[in-house]
Amino acid sequence: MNFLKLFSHDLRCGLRRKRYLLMLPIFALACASFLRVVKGMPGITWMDWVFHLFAGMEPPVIGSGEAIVLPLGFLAVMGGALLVNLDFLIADLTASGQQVLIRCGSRRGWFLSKCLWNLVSCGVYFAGVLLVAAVFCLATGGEAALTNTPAAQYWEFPFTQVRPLSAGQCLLIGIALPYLTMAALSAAQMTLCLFCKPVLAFLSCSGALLVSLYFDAGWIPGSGAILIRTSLFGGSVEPGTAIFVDLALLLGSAIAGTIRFRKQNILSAEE
Amino acid sequence: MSGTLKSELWKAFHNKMFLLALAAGLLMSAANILQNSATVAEMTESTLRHLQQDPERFSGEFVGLLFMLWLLIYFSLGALAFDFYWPILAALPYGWSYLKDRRSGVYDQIVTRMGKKAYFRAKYAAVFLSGGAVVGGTALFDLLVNALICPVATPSIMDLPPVANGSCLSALYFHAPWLFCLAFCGLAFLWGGVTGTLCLAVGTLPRFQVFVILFPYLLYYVWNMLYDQLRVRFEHLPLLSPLLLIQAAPDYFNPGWAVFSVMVLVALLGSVIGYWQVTRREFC
Repeated sequence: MNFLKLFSHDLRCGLRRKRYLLMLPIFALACASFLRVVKGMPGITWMDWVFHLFAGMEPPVIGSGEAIVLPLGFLAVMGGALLVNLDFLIADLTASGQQVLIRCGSRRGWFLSKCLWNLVSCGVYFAGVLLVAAVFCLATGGEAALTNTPAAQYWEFPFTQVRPLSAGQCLLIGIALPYLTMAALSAAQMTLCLFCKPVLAFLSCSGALLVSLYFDAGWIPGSGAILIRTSLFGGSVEPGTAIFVDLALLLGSAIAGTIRFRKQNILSAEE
Repeated sequence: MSGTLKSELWKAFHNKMFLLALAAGLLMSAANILQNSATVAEMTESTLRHLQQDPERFSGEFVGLLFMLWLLIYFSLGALAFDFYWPILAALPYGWSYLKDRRSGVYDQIVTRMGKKAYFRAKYAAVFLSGGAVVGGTALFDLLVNALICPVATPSIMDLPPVANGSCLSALYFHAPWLFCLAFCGLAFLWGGVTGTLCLAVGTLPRFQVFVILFPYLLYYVWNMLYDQLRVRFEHLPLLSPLLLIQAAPDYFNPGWAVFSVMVLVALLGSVIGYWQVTRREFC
């Protein structure tokens, strides 16, 4: 079985799952909290909806004693990707998945195929997020534009220096960075599943999101997706640094997973 | 019955996942304690400086930081992680066991000897107690260790305490804060227990244990998102989200009746659907 056949098998089995559709109501709930902003504000664009989903929160003042209200919509969208991709690798290490592994002939190829599948799966998931944002935008009379409306971001984040961004900048921080961060965390979770229990892998990666919300530092995996903290809005996270961290995490996960999987005892895999 | 209960309890408290859950809880508590020790050191230094500069104005009383920096009250990273992930801690110790029993065939062995109802009662008790022990135990551990490093004093309204007047057990907070904290440790135990038993409600539907463990967390998360939407429409709605109701000083108003009625609702969900899953539903 060559690599392409293996990869197409992964795509076929991995992407035809109902859970992508089950996540759509969650995205809708995350979008719904933006409706009160849209109500009194004309000219809201599709990118504003996307910005709302991936904005995250302003850096909390640590030690002030003030309540920290976590952005549940952001965590649901980012954490949902982890949840959707959580069991694909372990499912393929059990039952009929083992037959495929034996026939494919190369453990490295098998794991790399899973890594590529992870990128595609995150892409499909991300497309679902963008689609729901587009539906909300059109349903509320918004414009399908790739630029932002600073007033909308100011309403949600009054302490941030919001400003109009070009389409390229919007695509960078609204689409590219959240997608890369999502894919990197998901890949890290998949690799961690080889080292520990899946629930611990999930806790570690969604914990990274929580830590990145709590501390204002660009090097923490997860902070790349918090677009309100990027330097384009006067924050401390440089898009270049975030891209570097995400790519390093993606590559590191693939290498660590490949090395680990070469010596993995597949017979001890538990369902 | 008592033999099965003993056996279930032994299994619930002597497995790796229980230790893992306990370690995760203690890790969150340790993060909170570490951050608190820095806060206390900073505040003590500042108080001593004021004392040196203006001894006449210093009343001689320290702010009761313990009752402001405790895990269920404060917003340190550890406390935030605990507030966010406690349903997973509750389900992790033994919530997955029913699915495992079914898959391995242990269930059939037990129910042929003692019946489904007795099995359910023993399983429910074990899941309840192990989940409660981890969540309540973490809260109690954090309180006791924090008491070693934080100044203890009865909170005064002048200290701008985080507990709002009229919220659950708030009268205790201003008169007997230790009792307040212990009562919330008890509540955390109950929350941990009823949340753990929600795993029985999901039965054998998921293929993997991990989704059984994550089920209560996901349910509470979606519940919380729905509650947020309701709050936009009804501004004076009290806190009805179980994910946040475990906190002693949440951001929203949490009257006692809301805490207990949501807890009873969750307990009913866990026990009624769990009973149906365990005793009536066939394994597929």
